[in-house]
Amino acid sequence: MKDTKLNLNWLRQVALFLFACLIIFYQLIPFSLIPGALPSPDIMFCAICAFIIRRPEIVPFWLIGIIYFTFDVFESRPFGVWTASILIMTEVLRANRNAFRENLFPFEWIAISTIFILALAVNQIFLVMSIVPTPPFYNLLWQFIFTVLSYPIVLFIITYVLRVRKPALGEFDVKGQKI
Amino acid sequence: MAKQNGQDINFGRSIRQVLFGLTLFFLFLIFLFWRIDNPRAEQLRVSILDKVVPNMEWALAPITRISQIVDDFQSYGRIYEQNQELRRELQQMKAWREAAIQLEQEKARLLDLNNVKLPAKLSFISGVVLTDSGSPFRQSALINLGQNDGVVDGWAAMDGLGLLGRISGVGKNSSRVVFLTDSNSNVPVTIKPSNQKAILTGDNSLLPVLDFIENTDLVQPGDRIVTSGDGGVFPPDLLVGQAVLTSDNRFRVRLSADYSRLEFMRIVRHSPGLPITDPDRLIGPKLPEDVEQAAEGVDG
Repeated sequence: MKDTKLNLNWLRQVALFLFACLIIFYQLIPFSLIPGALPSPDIMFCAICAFIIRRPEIVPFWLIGIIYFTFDVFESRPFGVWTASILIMTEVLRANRNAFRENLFPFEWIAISTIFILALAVNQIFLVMSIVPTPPFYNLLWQFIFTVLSYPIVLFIITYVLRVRKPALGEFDVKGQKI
Repeated sequence: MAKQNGQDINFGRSIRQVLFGLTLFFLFLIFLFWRIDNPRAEQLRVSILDKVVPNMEWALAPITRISQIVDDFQSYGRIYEQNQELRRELQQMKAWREAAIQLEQEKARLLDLNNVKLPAKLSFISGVVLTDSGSPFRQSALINLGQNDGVVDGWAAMDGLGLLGRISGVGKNSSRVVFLTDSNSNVPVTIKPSNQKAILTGDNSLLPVLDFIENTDLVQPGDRIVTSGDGGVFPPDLLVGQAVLTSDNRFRVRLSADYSRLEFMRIVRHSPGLPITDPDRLIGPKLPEDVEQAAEGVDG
């Protein structure tokens, strides 16, 4: 039993961080410098939410913090606000993750969309309150739509390619605690 | 045993909550720092990018190149029309060139008559675009010139023809160019035949807005827009673009610089006149520190 359950979480965490670096790398390539490009979906958010529902130990809050703060630095955003909004909303999701245990995908999809739009709202409200210029509304709407649409794809890859699934009832984790 | 284990878990949970709260607090502090001392925070960002991006160049360059090749390949599809178009344009250009040469000669004659002293010609440094801003909400690019090349905050960036933006944030080997289309960009401009002053404000679209025009009746669509040099950031008379009137009845500017095919840009070396701070500075430039000290030593 002990041999089959090696603690490989740190490896998964490093892999997730490298994936974040890849996303930043892609974002920085100067494909087009014409303004008005549509925002790309927040793939990282989809992946993190899918992991939180399935294996929360892979994405501890400090990893989310590090990843999103790196995004903040490289994507010329105000420092910290978007990170904090994502942290708060993913923590809400983590606290309620038992609700997803036996529920179907549409419920999960709606919940994730709500959480993303709430994170956008928290970010936007905080920036407006501190009088920082914010991106136009329709751009955020597009980002929301793209992110929601990409969630099933990310989930498909995570479930069937990476084979990370919800723990079955009565399964134990590495430390021998009931999940 | 089981109970103790449960206590352990509870203890771990409360530690986690404290750490989570501390993280949020720390993020809030960082945001406060960014909001209050924005230039220094942005300088920090630039220096981080400066450490990372030049190391990524080996990987960035081929991908950028491939995307350009794909773009070029797509343009082969309409190569015939392009050729025709270019021929027509070349014909027009020849006419303009002729006119320009004649005007140049006339100007030289008039200057000679007036015995005018021209300011030192603006000189350029050319740089390569390394990365874009990484976000669709910000219009900027990172170029491969920095402090080591003598780049200073506020210098103008141009493509061959028109103004692109200004340097904002200088690292050792890279610096950020904020484009005129960015929503943080406000540039004082002159609308040419009527000499109206206005502020060119970016709004994340390809057509920045002309704000604060004194008298809009004197402005016609098609008027040339050049920098006015007010505020001392940009040198005057750099070409920006042409005024257009959009359907919402506002004047906007069609930029002369071509953002779609931007690989290189020119940074205009420009040192604005020294501000006069003390009365005695009117007489001469400030001496370097050691010279001043030496002079004092001689006096003593």
